[in-house]
Amino acid sequence: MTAFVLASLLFAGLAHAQAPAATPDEPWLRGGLSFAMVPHSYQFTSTAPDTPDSVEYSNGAFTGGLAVLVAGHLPKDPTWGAELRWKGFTDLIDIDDKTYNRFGTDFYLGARYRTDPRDGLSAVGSLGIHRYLCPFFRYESAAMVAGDPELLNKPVTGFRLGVAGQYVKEKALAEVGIGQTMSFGLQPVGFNFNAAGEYRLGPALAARGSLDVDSRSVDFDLTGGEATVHDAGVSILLGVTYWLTDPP
Amino acid sequence: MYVDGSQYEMGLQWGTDPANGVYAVEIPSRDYGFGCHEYFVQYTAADGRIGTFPEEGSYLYGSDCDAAVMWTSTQDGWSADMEPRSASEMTEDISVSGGCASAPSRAWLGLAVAGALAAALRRRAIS
Repeated sequence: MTAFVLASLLFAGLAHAQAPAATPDEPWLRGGLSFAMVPHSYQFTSTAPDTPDSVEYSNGAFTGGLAVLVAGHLPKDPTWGAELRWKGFTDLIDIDDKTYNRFGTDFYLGARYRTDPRDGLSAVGSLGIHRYLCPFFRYESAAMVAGDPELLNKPVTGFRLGVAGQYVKEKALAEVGIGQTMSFGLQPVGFNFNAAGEYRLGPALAARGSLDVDSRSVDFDLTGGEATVHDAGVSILLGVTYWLTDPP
Repeated sequence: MYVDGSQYEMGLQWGTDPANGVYAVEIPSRDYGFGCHEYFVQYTAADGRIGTFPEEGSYLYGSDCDAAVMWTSTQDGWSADMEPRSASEMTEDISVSGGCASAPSRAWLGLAVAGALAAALRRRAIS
């Protein structure tokens, strides 16, 4: 709810904004690689006959993987840019006597627009495609519900609208933002809060730390019933980024 | 167990090891065992294989069965959807239908779009 109120205000501000100037400290392109810790809690409930009625699990901080970030703006227009985020992690899931192993991913690709910075601070609006793999439990046979269910990765794709604040000053870059993922049927399926900071250690290399809070709730239709997944977690990303400060 | 095409879940009646026990199921009968009824058992092996006993056909019970070996070649109730499905087959009919209540509704999305349009119109008017 808050995201969209802020989005409205931001869009209004964007429409009034004059062509913002480039910030000397702002990199025009950044590429980063981070180690990702992805602890999360998961709940699954279903009325379909070929699924378990409910499944719950929680995984700790040792659920880990890698995260990739590529962000930049147009060489001749620093207000418009694009951003790519990808996170992949191994999810070891213990349910009763069965251990499942899945590889979950979270992908975002979108455009971003920022206002004219004041003392290094600017507002950012973004819109892009978001896709993540949602764990889903179902029995292998449609008509027999004995034994352990299979763990599936069901892609959930939608568009994400986000607003953020960005601070760039000398060697430091910080971003705090929120984003809302909507399915293509305009159903809200996920909320994201992100806070990230980078500090340039050398001419181009910067240390990066990021915190992602994700809350997802998705309703599914399937043959014979409905299912709901609640998945919430905090991702901690630690890594490095490479800054290109001078556009070609 | 399938009896006359209906599915009944069997329970471990004797023993503690699920792989080495005696299973049973008690079901009501409409004719006290008279007539002729067919049955077979479906199982899942430890490696995931699904099978039936007997492997083909069904056994018969009842006083009016017209078969000397008390066996018939059909397996009433067994269908192709008993077969294991691939991961893609299991996901192809799943679709997103809704989302979380804590997230913004379509009304807020409409408000955001209306705000953007209003701002764009105002900007055009100013310029």
